[in-house]
Amino acid sequence: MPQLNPSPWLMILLFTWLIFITIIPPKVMAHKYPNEPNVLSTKTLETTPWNWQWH
Amino acid sequence: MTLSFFDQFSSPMFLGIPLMALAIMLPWIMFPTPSSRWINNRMLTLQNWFINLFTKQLLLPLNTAGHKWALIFASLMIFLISLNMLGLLPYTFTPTTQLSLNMGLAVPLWLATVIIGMRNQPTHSLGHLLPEGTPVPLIPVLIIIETISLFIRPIALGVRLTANLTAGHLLIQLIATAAFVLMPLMPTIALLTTVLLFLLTLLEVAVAMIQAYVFVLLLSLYLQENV
Repeated sequence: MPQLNPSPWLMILLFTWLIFITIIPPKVMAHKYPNEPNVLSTKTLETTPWNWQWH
Repeated sequence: MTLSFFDQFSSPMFLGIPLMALAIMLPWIMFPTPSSRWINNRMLTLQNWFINLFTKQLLLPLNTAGHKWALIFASLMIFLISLNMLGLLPYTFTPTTQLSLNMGLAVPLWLATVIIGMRNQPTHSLGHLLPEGTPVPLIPVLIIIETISLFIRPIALGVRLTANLTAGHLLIQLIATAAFVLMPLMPTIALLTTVLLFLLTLLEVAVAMIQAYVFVLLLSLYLQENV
């Protein structure tokens, strides 16, 4: 099986980690989102219903 | 030199350039870095949405300490899914079929989760070696079994990805060869084989995405145990 050939193993490892650490994270970090990540709140807000006073 | 079907997986060289280097360096051109525009183009918006959704889903079961890993998980997912999917195009090389790459990703990341667990909360991490409610006589055997399963995890992680992708590519090559050889002899059978090839390619697209996801998901589970 050619995958078991040990000769380029170290270079592949180093190269992969190089790309994985230097190129991809800046691209992922540059994505911006409108809301801050937030924990879901457990209490639901109580809304009081109102009448339409002017009808 | 007689070619065997496994030769598609040997690290190819072209004009002295190892194609592995190109296959790892070039896919990120398809992920442009977003600028500070208010609204980006469609491709960037889709990638933005995907990264957001994926990271949110993945980090749901992790506690706050595990959220530090968000960037590395998102990067890993982008890495694996684009390498897997691009490898399904004709004449491309899939770096994730190489055991070296997958083990090189799996072993350090798994080891990082184990070391984090052992350093910050050693009792809690070691407690995972004994499932709750085991009968007392079984405890020594079960600890040995769980330790073995702990150490098999990185190997399983790497080999799972390698084997799935290698098997998929090999099947595609075999069935394509069969369809091609059968065409002058039995055209109907060749047509059926081509339909099979089409369905197999669809399966391989699914496998490519699923295997990338499973890799990252399992790493997040190992992190969940240790953080």
